[in-house]
Amino acid sequence: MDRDEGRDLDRLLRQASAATRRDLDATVDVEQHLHDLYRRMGLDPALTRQNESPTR
Amino acid sequence: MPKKVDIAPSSLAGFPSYYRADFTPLIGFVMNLGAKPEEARDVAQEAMQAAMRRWPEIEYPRAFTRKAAERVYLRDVQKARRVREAVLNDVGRRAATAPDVAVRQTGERFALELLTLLPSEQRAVMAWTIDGYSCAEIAEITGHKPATVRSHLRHARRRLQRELKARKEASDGP
Repeated sequence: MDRDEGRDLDRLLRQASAATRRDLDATVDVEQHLHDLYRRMGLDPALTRQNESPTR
Repeated sequence: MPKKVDIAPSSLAGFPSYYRADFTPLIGFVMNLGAKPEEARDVAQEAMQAAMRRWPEIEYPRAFTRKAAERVYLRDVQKARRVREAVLNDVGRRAATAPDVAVRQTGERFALELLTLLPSEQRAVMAWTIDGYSCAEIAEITGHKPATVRSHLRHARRRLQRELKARKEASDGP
């Protein structure tokens, strides 16, 4: 019983997180925020292309 | 006005790729801590800025930015609470911190809404857990004792399961 409830909770949390993630991916302009951050740090946003490399 | 620091562009290799991959998940993490979406976005950006400043020395960027975001969010919450208390005094404080607000939102996101029922320490541990971190990892990253983290997680899950069960029984009806 407890184990079933635990599985239910995990499933619901996974679904909810995935739904939130989909919304954020659809609405947040990541590239724009990245460029804003570079500008805020006094760097040219064009550097975001030069600084490419595999993610850690 | 944010403070500008000297960063050698060559020291930022890999940062844009990391940012693109983890910015929205980081916002989700901060929302799970309790922030509204816009607030979460600003907190995530501040955490990313901290990561950018120290990028060459960061071994685990996801853990670094989540720890930074948690610190920034808690700082903002405390600041907002001090302002609110100054304005509302004791009566307002009691109303503002009442823990058991009704959660009536339904749909696939309601499980995350249930997190609002948890005390902040339990909620933080749930946010880390939802992002895939084990109790041992959370303890190592946040500097809390492993037993404390396990205890927060156990109490949080128990509370959430109780709440889910009560809602299920209520929706099934008599």
